[in-house]
Amino acid sequence: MKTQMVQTEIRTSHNTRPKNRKMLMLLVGTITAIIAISVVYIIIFPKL
Amino acid sequence: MQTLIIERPGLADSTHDGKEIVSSKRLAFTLYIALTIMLFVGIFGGYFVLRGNNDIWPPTGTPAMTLMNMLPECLTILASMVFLIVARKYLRRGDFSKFHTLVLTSAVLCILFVFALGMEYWRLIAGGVTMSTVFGGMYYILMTTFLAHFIGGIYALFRFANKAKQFPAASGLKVGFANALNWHYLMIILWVCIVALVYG
Repeated sequence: MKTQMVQTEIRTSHNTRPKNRKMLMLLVGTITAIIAISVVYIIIFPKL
Repeated sequence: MQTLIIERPGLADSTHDGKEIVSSKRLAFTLYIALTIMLFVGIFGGYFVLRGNNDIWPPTGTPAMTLMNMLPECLTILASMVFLIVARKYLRRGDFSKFHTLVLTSAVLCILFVFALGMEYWRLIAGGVTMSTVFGGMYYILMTTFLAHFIGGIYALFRFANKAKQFPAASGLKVGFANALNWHYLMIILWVCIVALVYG
């Protein structure tokens, strides 16, 4: 009886990199926007 | 040989195929939107009555409340809407990866909206607007009710992002997402009314 070899696709670090980059960009964007909003409220609005 | 007859209620009725006549998801959601509108109409009514009773509104000493102060909130909520509309386009095409990214981005923008509104709370509390005053009480009730509904919408967006990642072809995603989009439209309409009423 022949043994059938089943090749499983293993996610390599290369495959997951774009996804991680997407999340990282979202996180960086969120932190930047939070800082921008804080600056607007703390520095700009009191001067208006 | 035995034959199996499968019966369904109203078998003699040939006017429809026996499936549900109205989508339960759609019906429930329509009712929910109507209920939310009624809730906010009540709060707006209360605001009108209290404002009409006071000659000086907002009371003297309240920090500046202009449309400019609501700019960060308005920009984030509008941008989140644009991302959701584009996400629906990709959902129709079946591009679930792009859909996932856009829905997540929209959810992040919604979180930024909540953060900006938190900063506005902080600004007003520092300026002496508290729950113990008529204006403060009405303001916080209105805004917090809105925030509670809005945060529910953000939770739904994260669920859709997860669904798109795990079972993209699962049925119900399109109807569900159409509901989420309608919900977001409602939130924006309510937000415009709130800003026009309180900051206009």
